[in-house]
Amino acid sequence: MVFQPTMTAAFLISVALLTQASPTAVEPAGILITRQLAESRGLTVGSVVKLATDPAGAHARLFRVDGIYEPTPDPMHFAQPQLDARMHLPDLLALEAGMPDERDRRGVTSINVALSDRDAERFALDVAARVPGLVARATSAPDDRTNTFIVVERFHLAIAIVTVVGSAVFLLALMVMLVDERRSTVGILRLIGFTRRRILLQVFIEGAVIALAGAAAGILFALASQRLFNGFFQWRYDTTLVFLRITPSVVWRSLAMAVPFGIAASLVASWTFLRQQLLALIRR
Amino acid sequence: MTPIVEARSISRVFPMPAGPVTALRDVSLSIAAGDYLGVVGPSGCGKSTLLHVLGCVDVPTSGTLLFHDRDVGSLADTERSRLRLREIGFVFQRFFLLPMLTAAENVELPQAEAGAPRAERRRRTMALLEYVGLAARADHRPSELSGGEMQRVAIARALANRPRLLLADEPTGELDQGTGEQIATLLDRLHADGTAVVVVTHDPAIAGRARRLLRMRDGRIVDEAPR
Amino acid sequence: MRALRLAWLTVVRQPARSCLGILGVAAVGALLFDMLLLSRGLILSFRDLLDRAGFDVRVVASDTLPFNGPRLEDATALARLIASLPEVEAVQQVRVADAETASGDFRRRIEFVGADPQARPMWTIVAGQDIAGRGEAALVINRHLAQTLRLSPGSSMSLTGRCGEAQGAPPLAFTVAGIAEFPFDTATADTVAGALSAAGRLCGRTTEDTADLLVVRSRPDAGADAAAAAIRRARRDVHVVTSDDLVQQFNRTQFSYFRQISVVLATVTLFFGVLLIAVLLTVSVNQHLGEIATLRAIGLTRRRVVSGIVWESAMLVGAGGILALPLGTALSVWLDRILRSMPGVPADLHFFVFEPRALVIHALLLAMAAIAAAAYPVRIVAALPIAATLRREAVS
Repeated sequence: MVFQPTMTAAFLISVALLTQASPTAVEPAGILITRQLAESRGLTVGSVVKLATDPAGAHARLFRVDGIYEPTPDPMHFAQPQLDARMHLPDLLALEAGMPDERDRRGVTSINVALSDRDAERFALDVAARVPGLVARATSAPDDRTNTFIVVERFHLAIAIVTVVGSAVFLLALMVMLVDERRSTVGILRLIGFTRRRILLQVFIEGAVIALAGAAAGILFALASQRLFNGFFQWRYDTTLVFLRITPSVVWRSLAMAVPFGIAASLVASWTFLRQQLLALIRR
Repeated sequence: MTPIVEARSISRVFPMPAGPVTALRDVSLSIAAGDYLGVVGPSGCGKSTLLHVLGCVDVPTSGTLLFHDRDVGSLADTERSRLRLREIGFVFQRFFLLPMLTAAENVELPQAEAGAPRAERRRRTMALLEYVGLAARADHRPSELSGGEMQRVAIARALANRPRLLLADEPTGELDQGTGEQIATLLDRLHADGTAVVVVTHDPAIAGRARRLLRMRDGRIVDEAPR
Repeated sequence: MRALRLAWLTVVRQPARSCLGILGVAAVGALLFDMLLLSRGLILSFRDLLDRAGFDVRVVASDTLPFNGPRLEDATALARLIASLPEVEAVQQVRVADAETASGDFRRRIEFVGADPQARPMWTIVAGQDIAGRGEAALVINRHLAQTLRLSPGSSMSLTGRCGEAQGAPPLAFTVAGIAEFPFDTATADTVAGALSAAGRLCGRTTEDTADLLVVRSRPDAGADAAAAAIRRARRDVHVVTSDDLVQQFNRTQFSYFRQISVVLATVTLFFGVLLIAVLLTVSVNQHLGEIATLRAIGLTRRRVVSGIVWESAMLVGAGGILALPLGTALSVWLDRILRSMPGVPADLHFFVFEPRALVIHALLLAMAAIAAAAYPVRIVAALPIAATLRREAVS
């Protein structure tokens, strides 16, 4: 559950200025920093740093790194390194004290609420009714972020459709060639008395076996490349986000498309030959 | 007479999974201009292998093959190709015409490859098709020709660059007796016009027309008789 | 007879197979072309939007994105200082304020862009007049707002600032001078532009002299880099970025996902295309080994026969590649429409943008694909034993 008060201010700030500082007699307040920030600035637990919200370093205060955490990856900002620090709200307000637009900053961007009865939707409606102008929504409710991923998913789906069309053409071309290679074999089978139906049945079985084997090989390849793909992007963007995941549903959908396509392609390719005169098949 | 091609103790061994197979054993042979040689023997005796080696499409495992006194074994692939293009004509049992080309285009192909000017190769193509009796079928594709007609086109193609040596591998193997006779007569004419002809055949009628007859068995020449 | 003609005859000999091959390459090529358009599309489009604003240098208080970080203090003096630099042609102060319509039950949130009315505007007037010379109460509004609230030049509107603790400031009355296009507007954005002072007055701050950013146009003979350097020399405490810097920064961060995904998809697509043509050619070659051996036997060189295979590959890939262009263009329109429906994306920002470079790379990649696809069948042909093949074909 998240409140979005109309007054905006930074709760989780991006670090405007960060330098390592010598410990002083006054015990600095503790902060948590992201692993990326620690790595980029060579900080460890116990390091004392100077933070300011002013780019020129005005009103800077000392903080001690109490811990380093792996940030929850944000798919909306995965391309940017997560250089974040977390501190207690009073420390943040103190850090901003004396800044020219301090008045504007005396607010928080959101308030997280843990509910005991877990009916977040009802609670959100209740808050919205009591405090007009306040946006309250369940964290599971769709927002702009969800919309972004719906769009990206639609984009990937569109690419998948083009890929499937391309694959279908490829498959048909392959099957035409494979059947063409066996033109005389088909002719001989017909010559010794096999019916068209009998040959089609054989082609159907062969098509199914080839399509199944091909789909299985494709899935295995996808599973193997999944790690490579994720590894590359996780390394590239220094994130723990998973970019590609082959779920059972994806596997089943692939099979459900590939196998019928394979069988259909082999049947279509065979039928063009089976329709021909017997002599045309065996003539060289 | 200076030989066109001379084989000196040539052998050809094919490595096979079940062990090496010797197709030619210590064969020596000389073919001069104006020769008409028939090669007979049971299947698998090495006739076709001999023809392939003489035609420079295969190289002997041992021994020397001289073409106009040049050691074929020392020639690069490109030079052997040039030799085949200009000096040797091939006729195959199964014709091996290019199905997408017309009869005239099939005959024109080796001339174009040899760099003959277009007008000259058109003229020669028509003359060759006339020679083999197929001028009227110049624009027909192989699929529109009979077996005998295809073989005559193949012979015209083999003669395209005026080769000194014509090698025919079972040229009547796929033809009926009457058509085979026509082909045999055509080969006689070629020989009479000065081309050295080597024919590998099972057909006694064809073999009977040759001036020299080689009998082969187990990769060896077991008998050579002038006729 | 040229290798090209022989290759052509071989290709047309099996029209169904060749057509399928060409269609497959067209599908693959279309996707490849689109990935090339995507790889730099955002950058080109973003650059175009930046250029459309007419300014090539931006001055902000910190290295955070404009409007997210602290404001520039003493903005007027800073603008005057920058304007006095010989490398600078024009400076515009920009201050953005959150506002809402003050009339009716439904309060519409509006982005108020405050700028100096006398300076060159960052927007393009499409109807009516600009705010220059019309006083503090003049506004230009974007099309979306005009259509939604049925406003036109001459209409009146009342705005209230959404200013944190200053939330009690009285509504201000404005007159719509014109309708304008703002380069970075999203399709549903409600944007208005007025005087810089009006942006402050919305929150009851009449004396505050701050700006979110200064946009600067360099003199053509000096260029953006020289202007940026001059500003940095004059004021070391401000952050100066040129349009090129911004493009590069966005290229590294915001847009890199699409660049990476386009590289991955283009690679996979290309691999797929190579595989398709390689299989087609290999099967074709295997089916015609007898003919190839005959060509070699009658004297065609290895190089000549190999060049025929390469030509065949080039024809299939070339025809597919050409067909891929209209197909890819149509596909890119569709994909662009999908991606542009992402929330927060400026209405004029495109993900797929054509540039001649993409066409050249497309052609080069397909040419490489044709050569790579021909590699295996060429190897078969080059290593073909003539005699053994003739023998095998004779007995088959």
